[in-house]
Amino acid sequence: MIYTISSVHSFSDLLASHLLEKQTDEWGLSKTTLIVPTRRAAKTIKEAFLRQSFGKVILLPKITPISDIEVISPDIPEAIPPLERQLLLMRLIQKTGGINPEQAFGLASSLAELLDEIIQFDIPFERLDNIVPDIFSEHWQQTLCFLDIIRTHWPRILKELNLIDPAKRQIKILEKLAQSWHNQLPENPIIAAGFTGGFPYLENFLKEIFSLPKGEIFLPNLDLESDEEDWKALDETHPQFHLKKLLKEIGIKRSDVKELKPIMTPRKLLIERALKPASRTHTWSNETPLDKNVLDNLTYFLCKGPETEAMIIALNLRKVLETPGKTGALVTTDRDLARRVTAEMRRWNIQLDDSAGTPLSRTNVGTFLLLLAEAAYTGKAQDLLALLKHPLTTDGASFTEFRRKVHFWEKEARLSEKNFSPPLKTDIQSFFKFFNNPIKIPLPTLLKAHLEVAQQLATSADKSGSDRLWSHEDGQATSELLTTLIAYADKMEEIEPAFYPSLLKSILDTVVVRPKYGMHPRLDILGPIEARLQNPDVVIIAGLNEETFPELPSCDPWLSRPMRNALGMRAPEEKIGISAHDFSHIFLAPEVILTRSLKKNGTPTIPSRWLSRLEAVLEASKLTLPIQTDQILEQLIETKNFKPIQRPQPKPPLESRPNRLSITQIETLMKDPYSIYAKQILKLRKLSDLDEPLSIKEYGIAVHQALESFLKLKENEQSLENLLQLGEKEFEKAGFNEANTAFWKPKFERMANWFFNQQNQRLNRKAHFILEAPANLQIDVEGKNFELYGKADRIDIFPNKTAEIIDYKTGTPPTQTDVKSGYAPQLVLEGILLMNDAFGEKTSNLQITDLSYWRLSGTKKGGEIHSILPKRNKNFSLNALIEQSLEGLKELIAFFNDENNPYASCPDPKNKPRYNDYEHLARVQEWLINEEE
Amino acid sequence: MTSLSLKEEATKAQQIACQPEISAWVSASAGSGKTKVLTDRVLNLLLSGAEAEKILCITFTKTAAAEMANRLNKILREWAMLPTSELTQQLQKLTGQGDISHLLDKARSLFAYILEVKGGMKIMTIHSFCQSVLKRFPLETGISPSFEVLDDNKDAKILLSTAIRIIVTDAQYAESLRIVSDYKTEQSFTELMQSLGKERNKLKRVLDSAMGLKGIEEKLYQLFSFSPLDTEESLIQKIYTGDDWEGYQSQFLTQKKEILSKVKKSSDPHQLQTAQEILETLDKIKALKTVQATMAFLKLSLAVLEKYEDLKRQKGLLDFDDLILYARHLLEESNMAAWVLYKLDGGIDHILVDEAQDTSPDAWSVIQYLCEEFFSGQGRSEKNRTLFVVGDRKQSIYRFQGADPDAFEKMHALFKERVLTSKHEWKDVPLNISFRSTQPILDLVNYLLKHQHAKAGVVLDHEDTTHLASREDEGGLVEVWPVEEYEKENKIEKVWPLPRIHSNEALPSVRLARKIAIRIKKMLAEKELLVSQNRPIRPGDIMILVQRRNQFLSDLVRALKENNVPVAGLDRLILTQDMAVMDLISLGEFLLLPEDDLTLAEVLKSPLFNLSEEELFNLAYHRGVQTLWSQLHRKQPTIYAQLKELLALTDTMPPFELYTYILSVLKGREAFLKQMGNEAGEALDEFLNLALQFEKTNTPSLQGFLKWLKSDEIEIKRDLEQDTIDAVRIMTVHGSKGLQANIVFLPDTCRKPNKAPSFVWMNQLPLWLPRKEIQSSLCIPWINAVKKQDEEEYNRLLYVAVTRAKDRLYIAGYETGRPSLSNNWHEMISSAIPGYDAKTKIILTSEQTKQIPEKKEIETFKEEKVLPNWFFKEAPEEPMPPKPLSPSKMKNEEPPQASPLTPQQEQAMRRGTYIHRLLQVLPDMSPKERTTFLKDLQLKEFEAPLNLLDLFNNQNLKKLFSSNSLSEVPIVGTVNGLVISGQIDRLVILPDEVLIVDFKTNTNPPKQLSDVPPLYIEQMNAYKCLLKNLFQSKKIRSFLLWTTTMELMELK
Repeated sequence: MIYTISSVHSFSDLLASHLLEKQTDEWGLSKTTLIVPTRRAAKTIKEAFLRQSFGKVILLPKITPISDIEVISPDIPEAIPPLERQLLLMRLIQKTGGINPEQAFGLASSLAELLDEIIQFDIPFERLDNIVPDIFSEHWQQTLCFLDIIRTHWPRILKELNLIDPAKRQIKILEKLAQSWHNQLPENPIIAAGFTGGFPYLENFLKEIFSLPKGEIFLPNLDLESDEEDWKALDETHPQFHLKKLLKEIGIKRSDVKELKPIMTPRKLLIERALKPASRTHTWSNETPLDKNVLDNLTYFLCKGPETEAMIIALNLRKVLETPGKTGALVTTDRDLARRVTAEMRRWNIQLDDSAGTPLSRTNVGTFLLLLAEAAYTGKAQDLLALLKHPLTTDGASFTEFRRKVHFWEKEARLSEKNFSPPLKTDIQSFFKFFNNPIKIPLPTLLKAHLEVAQQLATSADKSGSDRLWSHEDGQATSELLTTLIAYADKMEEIEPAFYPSLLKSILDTVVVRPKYGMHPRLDILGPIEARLQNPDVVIIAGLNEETFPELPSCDPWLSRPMRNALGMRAPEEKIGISAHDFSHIFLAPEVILTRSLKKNGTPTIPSRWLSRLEAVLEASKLTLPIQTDQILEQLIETKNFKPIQRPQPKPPLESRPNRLSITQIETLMKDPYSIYAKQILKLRKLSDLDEPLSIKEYGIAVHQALESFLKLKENEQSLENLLQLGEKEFEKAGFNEANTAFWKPKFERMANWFFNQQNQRLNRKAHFILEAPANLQIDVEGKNFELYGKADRIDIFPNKTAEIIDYKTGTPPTQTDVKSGYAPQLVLEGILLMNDAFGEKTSNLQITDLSYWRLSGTKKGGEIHSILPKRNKNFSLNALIEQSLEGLKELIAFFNDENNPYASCPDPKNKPRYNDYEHLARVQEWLINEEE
Repeated sequence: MTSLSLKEEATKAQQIACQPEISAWVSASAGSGKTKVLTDRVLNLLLSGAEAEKILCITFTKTAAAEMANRLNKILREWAMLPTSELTQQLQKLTGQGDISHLLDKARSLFAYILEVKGGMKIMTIHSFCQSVLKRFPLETGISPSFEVLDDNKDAKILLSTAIRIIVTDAQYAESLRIVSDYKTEQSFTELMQSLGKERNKLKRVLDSAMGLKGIEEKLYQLFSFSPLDTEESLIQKIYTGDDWEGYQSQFLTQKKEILSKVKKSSDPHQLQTAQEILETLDKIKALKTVQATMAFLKLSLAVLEKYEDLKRQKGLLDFDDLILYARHLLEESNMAAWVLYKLDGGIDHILVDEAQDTSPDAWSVIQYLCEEFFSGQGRSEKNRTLFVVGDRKQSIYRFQGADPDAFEKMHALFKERVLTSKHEWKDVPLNISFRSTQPILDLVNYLLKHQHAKAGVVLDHEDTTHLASREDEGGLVEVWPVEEYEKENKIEKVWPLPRIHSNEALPSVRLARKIAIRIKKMLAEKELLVSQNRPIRPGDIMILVQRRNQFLSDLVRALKENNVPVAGLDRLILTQDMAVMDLISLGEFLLLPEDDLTLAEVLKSPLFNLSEEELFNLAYHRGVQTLWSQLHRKQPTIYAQLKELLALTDTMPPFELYTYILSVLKGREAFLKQMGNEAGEALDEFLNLALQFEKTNTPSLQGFLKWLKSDEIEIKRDLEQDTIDAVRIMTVHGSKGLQANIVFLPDTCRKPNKAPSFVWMNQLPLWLPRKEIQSSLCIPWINAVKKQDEEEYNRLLYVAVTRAKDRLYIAGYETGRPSLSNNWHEMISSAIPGYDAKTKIILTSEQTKQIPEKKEIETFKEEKVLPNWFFKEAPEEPMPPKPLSPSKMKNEEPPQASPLTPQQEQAMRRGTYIHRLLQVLPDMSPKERTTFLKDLQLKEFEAPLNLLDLFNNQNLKKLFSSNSLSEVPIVGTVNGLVISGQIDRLVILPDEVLIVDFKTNTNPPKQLSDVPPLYIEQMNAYKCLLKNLFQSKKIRSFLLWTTTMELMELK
């Protein structure tokens, strides 16, 4: 007998209650066999029995997913495990050259899929030769050559291994089983439920079941009402396409199928009309108008983007919980959307789980393994830190203790700007070494080394690393997968370690772990296929855009549509038909909410074809989908009156204000007092970033250091060669890598040349040099003492007791105006220090003749001297400038000695500092009105 | 001319362009109904029986593609439902045919037909099209069939940097690098390489041509008439042999290298001659340096590019340009276009190209190869195939992406010739009637098109492109405001000014921003009428267009916000520079290192915690060596508790969930919007999007995410064209391409780009000019030629800007610190309008004379407007057992798996599963069957069969496999409030007892009962309880069968 269950009912619940009525003896239903399409379906039906028994204990039928049916027979070889198959195909693909391991692995999966299809549709390989016109045979040959992997090489390999493809084995098993039924009719009932057909072997098998005396078939949602014309015109994208084909194969008329608990609802009328085959839609405008009640319990949310769509869904799921016992489900193909919804549900402390599960690569263990592999590959401090901060990393200590250590190590490195090399107990270095070696390595070697380190690193104070890693659903699944991988890995080509992390990720991606138990008893997130057999009270069908639902078939690199057709394979569109069947099923839930976003990834979306069709047929009846927008969320996420903040102007008490500052700090105080406040008073220090690229700043430091060391050499050792050597040493010390050095070295050489000449000229003038001289000076400001201190890069003293203060600049030196106005006070402040003999005895009683910047950028001639003396003004007095500046400085100090004056942030935007560690803290961007760039 | 006939004329032109059997080239001025023509053409094609899957419609952006698809969808949906009379009317108008009755059914079913087209309608960008071709022809193209597209700029940059690193450390490029490093740092060189974009292919092609690097060098020497032996010294020595060349020069020239006046006046003509010789030599030296720099750069950059290609190939990646390049290469091969067309599901019959003026030469090539097939190849005879191009030279503004308005003309001629020689029909259709703009705006356009400077590059000399207004009877307005100028500054230069607060409000840009904001506020507050629609102006009517994104934009946004005008935000957003995003990054950094004081301070001051300056002082001041974090516990316990919770969550949540938690559950979003305004929300959304995007290619970790975020500026492009939000839109003119607005402000009109190109092509030779000092006078004409092209593009940009406006256009300008260049937009606009100058306000208007039909109020569905109470409450607790029933979780965990490193682990695992399987099958066989069966199976690997037989032969165990037993029996039920759903591996029902057995495949089975994992015992006890319910009078016994040892253990 063949039954159909309308989607107005929950398929599994109605099936369960129907079967429960048949219980007879103490064996309950356990002698019945129920064959279902998937494991998921088995689980769903089992749970339906639970619901339908209302908690009473019952023995259920043997519920077997079709893929789990077992027949052990010597003439059915074992199937090749999917991972092994993929690895073997991958190897064959790699032999064709030019494809990296990760992609070869992915490609292997697409070839395996093609292979399965060819098997499932029983297509002889020879047919491939003749499906293209002669004129193109040359081009086609190229593809055929590649397809030889599966049509020539692959069968040979399988034969050697004495294994067969899983699809082949499944077909053989079903045939064998049917055969055994022919030999001896089974006494107990055999029921197939939830199938829609789609494959010839499956259709045959169902036909066999149909022919058994106690065989029954339960079809989901077969349309018994539509008129014959429509039924005849069905095409691939129609929801009933497969069922129609199945009935034809079984050889039964539509009218002979019996409907369990027949029911017709207005909404069913709507969807059936909307999904009519395209060729029959010209009659839409003439049909009897639909009644308004087709819209009962139906809502449509049109959202701006996935963000608001997720919130709207969350809101509606939450609403379900207000009615005790009511159930709800989000049905979507969009995993990101599901994630967003799950995250939003935390608002109400609701834990939801996406029943699509999580690929191992994103589980706790998976990320741990991948972070380890990636850190080894990049060798970057930040990647190592990501690993060390993973909860599974404990390195033999307790979790808290180890975390404390990591924080300590990190802060230390970032304060000292040193390389990050934490003293771990685990020897990660030898594993890291693999990766610095571009030699190909057998995968098992790499994998084993990886797991050794991983287990060591995961060892905690009281548990072995192995026990910590391979526990829980994710750890167990990972262990199983990697056990298999180690066993098969010798079937792979050796790989370059650089490809290992991404390959491992792809491999981990092949397995998904699903939560064993639903997180919430009443709410679920389901894929359309999972939703097939159940019917929650409220269903939210989300992501109703083309490409999302339905998902569109992807480009096939091997066969075009006409070619597939010629081969006798199914059209890619059949998948859409299956989706349509899913849609028409969930659309019949008691209460339905449709949602979609107008945009995704910044591009406008196209509404799902089914939505368009629904809208069209409604329009013909002068009805519209009850559209709601996401405006309700505005209360939640929008604000009517925002309060912008103002420039910070802290006025700390006098005793907290600094009474000694360095030369550079004076410049900061002029431009951005708030920085001084944050650094000197609040003592907030900027930590350096790890792995920062080296730049002009580091070059500057290297140049300064090299020149200082150079001038400290004995005069006869001050050769150009030595200077260059010193430079190299400094670059190395600063941590410049080869590439950095490659750029900076030529600059340094040009600079050195220029500098060396200058130096010689100065030596000829019998100058001597004071280098990096420290100085400090007490200044009396309105009766209060203030200390100015700092260092001068160099002071050149000539025999005539004149002195020149020099500052090395590797960037652009300040302009004369900035020097005079006090915004670049460095040289004049050094002048003040020198004039007041603050540099010590050797520098007393000198006449300052020049203040100059030496620009050591290494471009053009290599260097340039920028004196602050004006070129033309003959009346200019350097002393007067210095005196004037001292007055300016005193005024500045006095200003901050007044408690009413604040340490404002960037008081004059035109003169704000170029680099500022405290810009974020002062939230400058939020209030500053800027100068034109 | 009356408007009726104008419209008739326009309709007629459009109808011609839409005829499905002809190929056509449509030059469509702005607002002339280009989109409609395109849509109508597709409709006509479909009606005439063209197969939908064989129509290829190429749009400029993905957005345009989606809109086009949605528009078609909407029209066809209407057709499906229209009464016959109305549909007939529409079809007549569309096709220009009288009797269309035979088309009615077809028209009606087109809607569903289009929806179900196999593979979808091909309305896409050229990039998407090329990508889909490459996906189909990987082997033919020689790329990995699973190639991925690097559409993320960031990843492309990382690859490029890697390439640079490899090349610069290669000794053979040291000499080139020495030269290049004079002009570029590592960073700026990397930037230069990134920006090379459109030159990349051109460079490669020059290299591939016979010349090679050596050839280029020779040609360059020829061009400047050097000998390859020339050096700077040798050039000097030709005129001067002493050793003070600088000193020698200063006798004749000033510092600025001009001839000294005393030399000019000198009576000795020899003096002047020498001076000129020196100048010539200096110029030659420049040229020499240019050649040297160019060669060094070419050598280096080409090596880098080659390496970059290598790396991409290795990783199976293609960048955006590659898509088109590879498609072009693919189609170039002989006979390939035909094969491609054949295999693309049977081909393409009609190609439509939109925005053709901005199509790059490589993209044109792709189209050309496809068309080649149309008009000569295989398909020529059987079928009608057409090409349809819509474009407007005047709107070509993407030169920086490789577009070229001259190519547009060239392609026009080329296709026309191809089509006509193949005896197909061809039409040139100009569309100059604007349906968009009112008369004053078109007046301005027409003035500009006649303006001596403004028209350069926009229209050809002989062309008459006078724009006619179809809306001539509607009210419109153009206002040109005088330029906002610098106030005369009292420039007293203060020495050491005290750090008191200055404001910059006197800046012209800031003043203009305010003015505009106030004007808009007035429009809205006073409900000014949009006369053509007879309704008050809404914020969504207004669009502000600028040339570039700069500080002025931020000022504008701020000014609008201060005046409470809703702003839609900017069309681009540099995410990592957004304050809210910076706060979130800091929060993340804090969570990764709580001892980072400054970062914690930033977090505390952010809107999330909103600590005041005083509170921060109290927390931080005088804390000695303590961290800020250690102070928080005592002084801010609430914040401490929140952060502590987040610290714990960081270990369990991936970045996306963590940040969603912060923004939603902890109400972070609310806090940000309150302080920063609503449009901050977009940055937050984008931030979360990035968190999702990050995980697509990276292993989730907060550390990794932040590193990735900060590795590069992330610019988010946003479409503002949809009228979903009623707010003022601000965007660049480039961004406004294809858009329109009722009211347009154009405030950024004084800027004129005047950047000297750093790369020019002289006679097909590349020349790198990294610095002005090395520009020889010889290069000047070429540099000027590029500058001229820039100016022409600048003019076209103005045309695009002005024509965005439908009803009103406001033009303003502001002075910047730099002197403004002549013929900037503002100057051209005010001088183009007869009788006006730049100093007075200019107004052009037109009257509304057209009657406006009353608008019907559309009934809207009643929406819930207020968030319900339960929204703010946690979910109610669920009853135990839950209702409806669902299985409960066991208390105990599964024991850990053995390590994959355990020897022979895989075999053990497989053995376990296999035995499990055998145990399902074997019991149902007779002993004899069993023995032969096991013998037949070759299971040496596992040594299992013997063992198994022992099991069945064991007298004690016999009853386990008797006929009263069943395998794999699912059981459900409730006991003690627990909901059980399980499966019993072996169930035996005997008269007085029931036995249940579970098979366990653990590799190390426990020796005694006390070592059995607690979960197993829990499970078996649960089954026992269930069965007790079912078989109340029988004894229930439970066993575990350890398959590794084949030992049976009873649980008691």
